[in-house]
Amino acid sequence: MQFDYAALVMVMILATLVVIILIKLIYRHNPHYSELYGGEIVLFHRAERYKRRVWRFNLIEELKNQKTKGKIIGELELKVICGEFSDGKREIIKHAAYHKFGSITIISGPKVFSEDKMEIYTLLDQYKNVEYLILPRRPTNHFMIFNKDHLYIEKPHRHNDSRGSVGVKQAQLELINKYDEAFSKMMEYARPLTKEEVFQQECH
Amino acid sequence: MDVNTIISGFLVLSVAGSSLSIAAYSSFKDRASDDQKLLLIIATCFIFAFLVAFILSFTTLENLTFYQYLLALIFFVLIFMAVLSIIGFVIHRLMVDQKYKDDELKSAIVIIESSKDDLDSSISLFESEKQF
Repeated sequence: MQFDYAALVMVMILATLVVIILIKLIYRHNPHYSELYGGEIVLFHRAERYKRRVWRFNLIEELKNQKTKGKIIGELELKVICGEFSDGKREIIKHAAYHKFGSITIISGPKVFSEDKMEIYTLLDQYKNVEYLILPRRPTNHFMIFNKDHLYIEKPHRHNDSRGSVGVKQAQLELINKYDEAFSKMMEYARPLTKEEVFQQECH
Repeated sequence: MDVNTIISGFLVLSVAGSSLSIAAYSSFKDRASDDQKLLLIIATCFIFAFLVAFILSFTTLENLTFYQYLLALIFFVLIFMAVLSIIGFVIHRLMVDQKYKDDELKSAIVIIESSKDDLDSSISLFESEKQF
């Protein structure tokens, strides 16, 4: 039987189409979804420090872009409850402050690592939209609320330990409200820290 | 052109392709990534290509004695079983990866739930400390 080049070209075009569809299907955005919790749920393992950081950085940039396009009206908000003002938190908060978040509120435990004092001072000195509050004891539940829409929740851990965490984009209203209320209540028990008081904070 | 001359080339190419894809799949450290899934699908394509070339090679057999026919048939069945096993392996891996993804979601929900439950007790602790 003679080889038909037209058939070969047809097969090649068909194969190319199949490959394009296959790649689109495989690499399609397919996040974990749960009706009860949120649209995009990501689990970060203990060792995935970089992945955690990038996820929050991207979220901040995404929110800023939405605000620039006029999809978000009003100020961008970031609420953080943490045990200590650690390296990772500092990067996220600075990134948010740099990306024009209008209000950043941090609630932290009473002790800091001595090397972080200067960082807290600089943050409070440079950004007037950052508020830093101190609780009488170290909180066990650490989380971040990004603009009343997205959540980042850490698994309870000791101050010198790191554990897994979860990021929830487009979190369900009920879940966000629960964390938002908890944040507001925690604020009642916390006292604001001025930049002058930073160097008097207790150290670990 | 004699079809027998290209069959051996097809066979080697498809076996090498599927082996390389599976080796590349195994070298990934991340579990359940999309790249791994693509490699498994590439391996499946190579394996099916091998199967086609293999069946083609058997359709070109001529003038066999009974024993030659019998041995060729046994060989065919064995290779066919091996190929089916590789396809089974690919399907199994895809299912395991999907299960891993589902387990991740469950773990994430456990973290959310436990954190949510602890919120109230943390607040009541601060409240009781404030009262004293």
